[in-house]
Order: sequence, then structure tokens, then C-alpha cells
Amino acid sequence: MKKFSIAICICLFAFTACKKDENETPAPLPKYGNGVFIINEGVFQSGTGTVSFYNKSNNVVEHDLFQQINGIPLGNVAQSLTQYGGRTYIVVNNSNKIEVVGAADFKSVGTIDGLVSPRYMTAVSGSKGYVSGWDNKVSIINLATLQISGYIDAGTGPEKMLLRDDYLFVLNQGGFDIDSTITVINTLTDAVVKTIQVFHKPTGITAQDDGTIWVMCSGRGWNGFPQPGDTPGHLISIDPQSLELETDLVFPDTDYHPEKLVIDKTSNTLYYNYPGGICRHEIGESTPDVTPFISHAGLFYALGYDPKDKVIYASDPLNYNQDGWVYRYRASDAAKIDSIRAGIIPGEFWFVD
Amino acid sequence: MMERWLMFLPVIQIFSLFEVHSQEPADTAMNLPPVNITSKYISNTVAGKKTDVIDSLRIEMNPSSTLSDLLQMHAAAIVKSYGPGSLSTLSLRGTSATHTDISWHGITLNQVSSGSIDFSLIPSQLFSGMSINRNGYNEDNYRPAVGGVVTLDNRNNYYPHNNILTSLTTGSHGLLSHFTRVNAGNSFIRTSTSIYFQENKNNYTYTDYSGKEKNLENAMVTGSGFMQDIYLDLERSGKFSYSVWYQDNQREVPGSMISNPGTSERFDKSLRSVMEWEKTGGNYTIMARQAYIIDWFRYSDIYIPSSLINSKVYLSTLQLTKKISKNFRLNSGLSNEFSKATGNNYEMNRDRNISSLYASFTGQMFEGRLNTSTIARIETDFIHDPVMLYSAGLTGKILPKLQSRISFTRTIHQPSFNDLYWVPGGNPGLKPEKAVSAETGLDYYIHGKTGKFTSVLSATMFSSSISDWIQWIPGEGFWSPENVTRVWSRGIESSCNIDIKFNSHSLALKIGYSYILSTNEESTMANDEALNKQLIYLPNHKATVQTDLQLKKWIFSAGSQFTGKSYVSSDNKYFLPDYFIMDLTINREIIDKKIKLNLLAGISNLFNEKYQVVQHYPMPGREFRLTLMCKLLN
Repeated sequence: MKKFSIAICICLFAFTACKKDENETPAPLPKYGNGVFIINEGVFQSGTGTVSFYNKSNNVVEHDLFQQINGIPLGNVAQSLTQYGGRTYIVVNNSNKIEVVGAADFKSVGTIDGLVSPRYMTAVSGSKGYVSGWDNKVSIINLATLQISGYIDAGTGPEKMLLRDDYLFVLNQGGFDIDSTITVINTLTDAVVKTIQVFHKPTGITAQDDGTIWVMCSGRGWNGFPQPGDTPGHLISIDPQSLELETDLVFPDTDYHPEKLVIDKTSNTLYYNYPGGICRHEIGESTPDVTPFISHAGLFYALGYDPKDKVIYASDPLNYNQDGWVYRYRASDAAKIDSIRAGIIPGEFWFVD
Repeated sequence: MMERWLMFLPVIQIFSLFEVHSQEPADTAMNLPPVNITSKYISNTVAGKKTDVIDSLRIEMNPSSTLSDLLQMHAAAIVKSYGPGSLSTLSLRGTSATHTDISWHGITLNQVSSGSIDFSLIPSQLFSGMSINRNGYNEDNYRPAVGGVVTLDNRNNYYPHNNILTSLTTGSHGLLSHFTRVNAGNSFIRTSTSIYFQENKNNYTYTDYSGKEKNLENAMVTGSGFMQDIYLDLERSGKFSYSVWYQDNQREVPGSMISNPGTSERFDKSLRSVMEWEKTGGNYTIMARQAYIIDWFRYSDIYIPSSLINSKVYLSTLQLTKKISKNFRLNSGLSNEFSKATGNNYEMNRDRNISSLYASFTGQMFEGRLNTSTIARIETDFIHDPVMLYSAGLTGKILPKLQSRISFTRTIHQPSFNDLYWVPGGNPGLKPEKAVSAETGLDYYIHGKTGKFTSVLSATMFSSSISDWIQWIPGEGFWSPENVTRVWSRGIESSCNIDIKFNSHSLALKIGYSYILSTNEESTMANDEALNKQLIYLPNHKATVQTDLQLKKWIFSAGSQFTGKSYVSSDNKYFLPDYFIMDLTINREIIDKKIKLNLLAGISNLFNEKYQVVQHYPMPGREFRLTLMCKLLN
């Protein structure tokens, strides 16, 4: 009897717990969730960068979020965006600042000033972040106070970065010159543990689930404008423990240079920009692919990969003086899904679940 | 003797027909009854085209101004300026900055590297006047200009009277400007020597987008230079002139309102010299001209590598003018332009030679009621096939007070050295841009019976199709110029000039309006929304009003301009709003025997309008300036 009563109580309790409380409201979906931030650089000097948001739920694009919500232009050349700890950090290159907004509502929280030509930011904790800049330094940022707390010397033109465990890999792309190194920083001590010698102009970095780091080195030169001294592109992998090069796949032609690099970790497939479109490389193949998997007249500008939907995003800024286009392709078969109108010079993507 | 008068007649006739506005206070003012000069003349000017003149009064009322400042108050001139003393270029009839030539003593001053010229570097006080021709040919050297030509004239400085002019201007935001000119000579030799210096901190206040007041940083400009003209009348041996102009400018380059304050500087130096000999005998005039131009440019920044370009141009022209009959004249000539340049963005020293052969036929018919001119020119750069160019025009009196004009023109514009040789991206295979233009217009003249009232009403319609337009387009990792698009520019220009004299006073009113549609007509890019859209930084509408009131020794001037909205993106989604600005100047003259003093006080942007000509570059608000000018007369 006693056991039966307990069981009844449990059932009643469960029933009560399942009953909808009319006073409860479901937690709102984040306004900027399940979508893609498109970072539009804007015209250099005389234009403003913007951030657009493509909502995958309803296929609606909102434009110029920062100005719409905060009432002032973002600044000149919006270079990149990162999110951490409920905040969104927008690196504004030619305004020497990072605008900090709430991740949920894009309302301004503050500004990180005093930077010199900042390019990309990586946050390692709620109180610490690193910013690469073309003053050839990586700035250490106190994210609690939004102040610069220190500097680490890097190579020429530090650009994209990748955090693996406690190590930050900084690509030294060369800025207005050319470089061929990767600076590795211990984020616990802020010391440079190694400068890895790679190949000319590292422009893309990503990593497999097993930690293997892949880097695209574009080579010296410009596509379609051959010059004496041009070097070929290299697709390389680095052992994250030994920090040594493991794989070196050389592109066959010094006239054509690959750029950018993204990964589908589930299929261990790499994608990169190449004249004529986007190529893909199955990790393990012995030569890099030079036949575009996705064709496009000319060279795409930005390249992104949505791991959730397995969709490739690529941008075309047209004449760099009008709203650009973002094209979406199915990674499985290169089928074009649709195209999205972005802002002026869509340069980077940030995917939000 | 008779030939000498014939040489001056075109000057007198032109000023009586188009711009009767030389109100430069005379040394001894005497009101003479009007005189009609009716002898026939044969003009070298291109018939069928509208020529506008900015006269000496405009220059005298704006003594510290640059060419950019003066042209902003002209309805047909679209000036794109980053701010006072900053880069400033001119577009005429919907064309680009490289399509506007600037001419001085028959030579084109556009830099071979960029193909354009910075109008903010040219002080207006050096000149006694300037004229603006659109869609045609340089009337001094028959060189084609797709957009048009601004001709700088300082030959009036040769005539008559020896004098010394010196002026000192001070104004808001650290403006300090000095100019001195000495004219001397006799019937055999005349010289004119000018020196100038200008400095401006340009640290004016503007309101940023968050509402804060800020001072513009890194915007200081300094400039100095001299000009020397020598003119010899060798009588039977002809006339010889030699002019040299040197200038040196240093400018800090400010950032925009949304970028960092700016850490760049630019340095521009130029040396221009031209020698000309002309001899007239019987029915012919022979002219030989030799010019030499050096431009030196450096752009430096603490964060980016410096850019350095040196260029040299050698120009030679030989021209024969023959009077075929009392009504017709034939000009023919041969010219050669050799340019070379070195720069750290050119792989190696670069050069180019352009030769041309031209002929011009001008004349009058029906007792002067119909003027005609035809130009034919063949030009080659010895790389591409020679190009045949032409212009034909008619100006005719329909009624005693009504004149009509019509002209057709085919011109080209050669690519600049930056277009051809810049690394990366330069395209040596570029073809010249080509333009076919037509215009027609009417001019209506009103003269009061007593000669105290004159008015000219003008209206012109134009259409110009420019093919193989050079555009820098993004390639596979860098930008490169291509002959990719065609632009169709069309529109209307209208003006109303009124001059009233009463007692010893005068009132002059000039109203101008232009409407321009200049659109991209071709594209090589898929999904290009710039197709059929207005070119950027080209407002559809511009209107100007200039009023000058002379009351004895006082001159009151008010100049205003309205500039319509201009697009800043090629898909025309984003634009700058329209703006209206007004300037005022008061000039008080004091004459005491051989000394003439002028005290000028001016206010620019009287209503403190907040506006931008280039997006995110604030223009100054209300500014003041004071000038003391002293002229010692002989």
C-alpha cells in the first residue's frame, strides 16, 4: 500500500510537472542565432564597413546591423568578427579599433582603441584575447576592461590565427610585403615558443579533429600577373605537438595562387579559392587539386564553410563599389543553392548555431 | 601695323560676345560710350561650342583661392574634393577626372603618371583669367579632350603698364598666403615675375557621427612657387616668349571621419617651361613651341611603403596659319609629345611617344553671320593604329539677337602611365578611350538702348558616348585596368548673365544650372547592378548664382552653389545628400595717385553648412579671411 501511494504521488508530481504553467514563456531564440554574419569591408577610406546577418531560419538578410542598432557607422574596413562569452567583437581595420557588441542584440558594449591596423581577433577566455595587427605585433587584450594589456612581436603582417589547446598559431602573411612564417604563442605565458618556417604568404589556417593543423601558403605573386621570382602555393600540415611540417603539397604553377582554407571535419575535406572557382582536397591525397570543384568567373573573395548544413559560402564583391553577392553551394555535389545580397566587399563569414 | 590690330580683334570680339565681366578696378576710371567693332575677324576658336570664362574680377575677389575653389562656383564644373588643400579633381559633362585637360601656354599640364591634375595645387592669383571648353579640343594646341579643357591665361599680365602687386591673406584655421607679381617692360620687352607662398593648418572643427566636436588632424598644407614670363616683340623677326613655372607643395593627408586620423603625407613638385616663337608675314603666321615639364611625386606613410614617381615630358609643336581669303583661315601643324617616367611601382623606366598631324579650317560666311570651324587630327603612339579625329562646328546668327551653335566631335584619351605600367595590374595593351560628342545651343543677347544693360541667356544640350572607358576592375588577386565599359553622358547646361551699369556703379549677376545624366552602359560582370546607373560622385543637378555689386570704390560679391545628391556606390544604393553653400566677399579700394590698396574681407560657407563632397570627409564650416592687396602703378 505504501509503495502504491508513493507511486501515485510520483505520477501526480510528474503530471503536475508536465502541466504547462501559463505564467512561463518559452526562452526566446537568440536574435542572431542559426545564421551567418557577413562582414563587409566597405570602400577603403571613403566608405564604412558593415555587418549583415543571414538568418537561415527564414532566409532573411538584415543589413548594416551596427548602424541600425547603435546609430553610428561601424568604421572604415570591417575586417573580421569573432564571438566569445556572449559578446561579438568586430575588428575595424582602418579605424584602428574593435567594436564590442552584445551577441544577442548587437548593442554596443564598448570599444577597444589604441590598436594599429588590427586584422583578426581570437579570444582564449572571458578575460583575454589576442589581436593580430599590421604593426607586426599581436596585441593582448583584457576583455574585462577592453584595454590593451601587452604586445607580442610577430612576423610581418600577422593575419589569421588559430587556437589549438594552449597554443595560438599566427599566420604572418606579409602585410604590404611578404612573409613565410607562423608565430606560435603559448597563451598561458604569452611567450613565443616557436617561429615555424613555412612558405610564402600563408593565407588560410584550419585544423582537423585530431589536431593536425593545415595551412594554405599562397606563394609569392599575383594570379594572372606573372613576375620573376614568383613562387608556387603550398598546402601544408603541421603536427601540433612537434610543431614540425608533416605534409607539403606543392601547387604546379607559379602563375596561379590558391587562397584561403576551410575544412569539413567530418569528411576531412579541405576547400580553398583558386582561379576559376573553389577546389577541394581530400586529406590523404598526394597532390593538391587545381581543377575547380565549384566554377566561377574569376576569383572568389571570401570563403566560408557551414559545418552544420555542410554548405560552402563564397563572396563576389563585383567592382568593389556596390553591394556584393554571397553564393551558397552544397559541399556534397557543388550544386548552387542560392545567392544572397550582402554589403560592399563581403570579406569574411562567421557562423552561428 | 594692320596685322597687329587683327591679332587683338579676336580678343575684343570674344569678350564682347561671351563674358563681358572684366570689372577690374581701373587705374583711372572713365566711362566711355559703347563702341561697336564691326570689322571682320577670323577666330581660331572652335565654332559651335560654348566657352565659359572666369575673369580677372573673380580671381581678384578670391586672392588666396586655388583653381579648385574658383571652379566649385561654376555650374558646369563638378569638383570632387577631399577638403581644402587636399586632392581635388574636376569632371566636365559627366566624364572622369582624367578626361579634363588643363592647359597653359598651349601645353597640357596633366601628369603622365595619373593622367589627371590636382586642381588644389594651382593658385588662381597667378592668372588673369581662365576659360572652360567642354567635349572638344584645346584651342591652343588642338589636342583632343574627352571631357574638356580648362585654359589658364596669364598673358594679360604682359600688357600695359608697369606695376607691382603684392597681397597678404590671413584667415581661419591658420591660413596664411602671400603673393607678389612684378610687371615691367616696354614695347620691345615685357616681363612678369610672380612668387607665392601659402600655408593652411586646416584644423577646422567638424561634428562626428556620435555628435562630438572634433578637429581635423593631419591636414596641414604648405605650398610655394614662382612664375616667370618674358615676352619679346622682335618686330620683323617675330614675337618670342618664354615662361617658366615652378611649384613645390607638401600636404599631410587626413583620414576620413571613420578611419584613423591619418599618417600620410604627399609631396608634389613641378617645373614647367615653354618657349614660343611666332612670326607673321603677309598671309601667313608661323609658330614654333617647345615645352618641358617635370613632375615629381612622393606619397609616404609610416605603415605602408612609399610611392615615388618622376616624370618628364618634352613637347614640340610647329604650326602654320595661312589666310586663304579675307574670310577663311587654315591652320596646320605637327606636334610631338615624348614622355618618360620612373617609379617604384613601375618595373622599369617607361616612355611613350605620341605624334600628331592636324589641320583646322575656320571661316566666316554671310557677312559674319555664320562662323564655321573644322578640325582634323591624326594621332599615333606608334604602338596602336593611328587614330583619325575630327571636330566640326557652326555658330550662326538666326536673328539679330539670337545665335545658335552646333558641333560634332570625335576625341580620344590616351591611357596614363599608371594604367599601362603599374605593378601589379598595369595593362600595356590598353587602347585609348574614344568619345563621340554632339552639342547644340542657343544664345540670346539683350542690349539696353543706352548700353547700360546687357544680358546673355544661353542653353546647351549635349550628348557624349565614351567607349573603351578604362576602369580598374578586380582580377584574380589584384586590380587591373581594362577597356571594359561604355559611358553615355548627356544633359543640359544653361546660364543667364546680366550686367547693369548705373551712374558710376555696376551690378553683375550670373546664374548657371547644369543637369547631367552619366551612366554605365556596359558591364563584363554577372549580376552587375551598376549597369545603367549614374556614375559615382557625379550629381545630377548643380546650380550657381554669382552676384557682384560695385558701388564706387566698394565691391560686394555673393556666390552660392547648390549641389544635388551624388551617389557613392555604383549600384546607386548609397548617396550623399545635397547641399547649399554661400560665400561673401567685400572689397574696398583706395587709390592714391600711383598706389592702389584693396582690403578684402570674406566669409566662406556663410550658413555653416555641414556637408561632404567625398563620403566621410567633412568639409569646413564657416571660415573667414582678410586680404590686403597693394598695387604700385607706373
